[in-house]
Amino acid sequence: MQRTAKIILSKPLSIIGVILIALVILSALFADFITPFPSHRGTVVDFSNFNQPPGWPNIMGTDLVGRDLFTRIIYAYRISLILGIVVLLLAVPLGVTVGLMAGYMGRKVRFVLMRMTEVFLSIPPLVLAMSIMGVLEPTLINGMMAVTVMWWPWYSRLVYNLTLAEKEEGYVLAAEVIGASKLHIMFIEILPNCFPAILTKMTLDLGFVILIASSLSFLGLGVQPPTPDLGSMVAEGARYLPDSWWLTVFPGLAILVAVFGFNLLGDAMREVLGTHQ
Amino acid sequence: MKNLTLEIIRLSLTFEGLMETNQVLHEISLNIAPKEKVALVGESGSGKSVTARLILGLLQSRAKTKIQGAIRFEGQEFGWITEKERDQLRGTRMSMIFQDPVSALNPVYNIETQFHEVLRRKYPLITRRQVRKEAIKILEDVHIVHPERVLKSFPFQLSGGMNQRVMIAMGLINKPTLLIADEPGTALDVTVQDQTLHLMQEMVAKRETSVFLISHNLGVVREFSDRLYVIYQGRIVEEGKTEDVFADPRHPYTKALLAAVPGITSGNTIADVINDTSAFRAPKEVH
Repeated sequence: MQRTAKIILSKPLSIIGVILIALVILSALFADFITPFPSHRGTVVDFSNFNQPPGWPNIMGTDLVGRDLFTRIIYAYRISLILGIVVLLLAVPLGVTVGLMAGYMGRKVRFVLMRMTEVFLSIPPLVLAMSIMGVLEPTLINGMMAVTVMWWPWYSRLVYNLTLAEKEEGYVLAAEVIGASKLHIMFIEILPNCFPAILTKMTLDLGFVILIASSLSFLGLGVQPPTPDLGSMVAEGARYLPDSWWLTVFPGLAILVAVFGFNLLGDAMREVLGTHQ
Repeated sequence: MKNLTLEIIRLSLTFEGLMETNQVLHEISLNIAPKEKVALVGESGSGKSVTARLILGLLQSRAKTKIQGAIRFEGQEFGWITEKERDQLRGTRMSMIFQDPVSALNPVYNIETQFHEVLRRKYPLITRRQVRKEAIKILEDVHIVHPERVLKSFPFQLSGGMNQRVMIAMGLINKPTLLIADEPGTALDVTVQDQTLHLMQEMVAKRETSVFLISHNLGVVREFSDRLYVIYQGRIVEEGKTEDVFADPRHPYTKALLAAVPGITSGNTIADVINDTSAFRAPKEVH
């Protein structure tokens, strides 16, 4: 723990990353208490106060129906984080299992699983997610599914490569010698040795998942109004540039802060866990 | 007739590739009696380690591997028993010690957890407390001074010699009838290697375990084993009591091997005889 703190504190960028992500997570958690108008996350209309530039009490201005932009951005963070975490919780176990099996089981299993992975990897991710969302209804759940489908292959390739290296280690042979099952060797012996790399990638990915999800909703394929979402907020405001600049700039900055923060945090994790690749 | 611990009869092993096949063992036969310490000596690539893996049953289920001949462990022939029964033998009736003890222990678990894993093979319902008791007892047997501290340690926190002792303790804790030692301690320095041998000698004498030692190191073999087999290019070319073979080597390869022991003054290397390998090929008939 002390070592972790020391490594993070020794790099200014890591400190910035930790602070940014702490702000994002805390504000999303306590959105109900820190936002001035919690009800504005829904279908509130206040035409007397619409499209106001940043000022007081609307520090980031108001949108086209008079809702407080700051409030909506904080709630959008909440949605983005939930989406990112759910996507990773679904994609990582799937990808890890596929990678372990491809790396450890025989040649036929490897062939089938890795070719399948490569098929998914060869389709541009956004195109894949867009086509899935085009077929399905654009809801939060379907958005998560679409991003999950494009995300797991990266983990299966990562874990596949790690497994190839780990399975040559003596402890794997030692486990085989005492008669451990394949399942035991994959999940109990090999997997824990892959954790540092997986955790680092997960931290980095949280930012990218948020970015991709925002891209989808920018195109109108993600979360639907009135649920606040950073991507659809940018899309809505883009029509009123450059006069009502706050409609796009603040949600855009919010995306930047989250992605940038998770990237810096991922780099810090890499230092702490010693996974240089 | 008394049951031999291990009996290998005319065992051949062929790896089949796409274009070519590669026969790595040519009808080798060997046996180990209870409590006997037998060595298999040969240079790298001669088929030593593959023999060990066959005994452990690790190669049998691989595709593209052709095995002929028989392996009998305590009178049970591997060809007759199911794969499950064979798996059951590993870790309980036979166990293995490796070249590099540090890498043979999983870095993410402490020693106690790894002892638990091994003991669970034989006693599936063993409790943590019993594991501790058993592990401390055997760690004391291998002359570890603070067993409690070692149990809480991770492999990378211990020295190579300590890891080696832990490895030996783990190999013997289930009281196997056969211990396979594949070049034990060659990854460590010579003094630790020497300690390892003495320790193994002491431990197997106490537990009446047979040992199958695989080594290229004639010094180790001479000190440790009762009997030895010399393997060359997948064939057993000589066998006999250790002192007899050392006193009077018959096969040219054995002679070459003995001459190749690096002395301080002698400049002989094995390359001197490798030019004429035809004489080595003649298979020695072993019953």
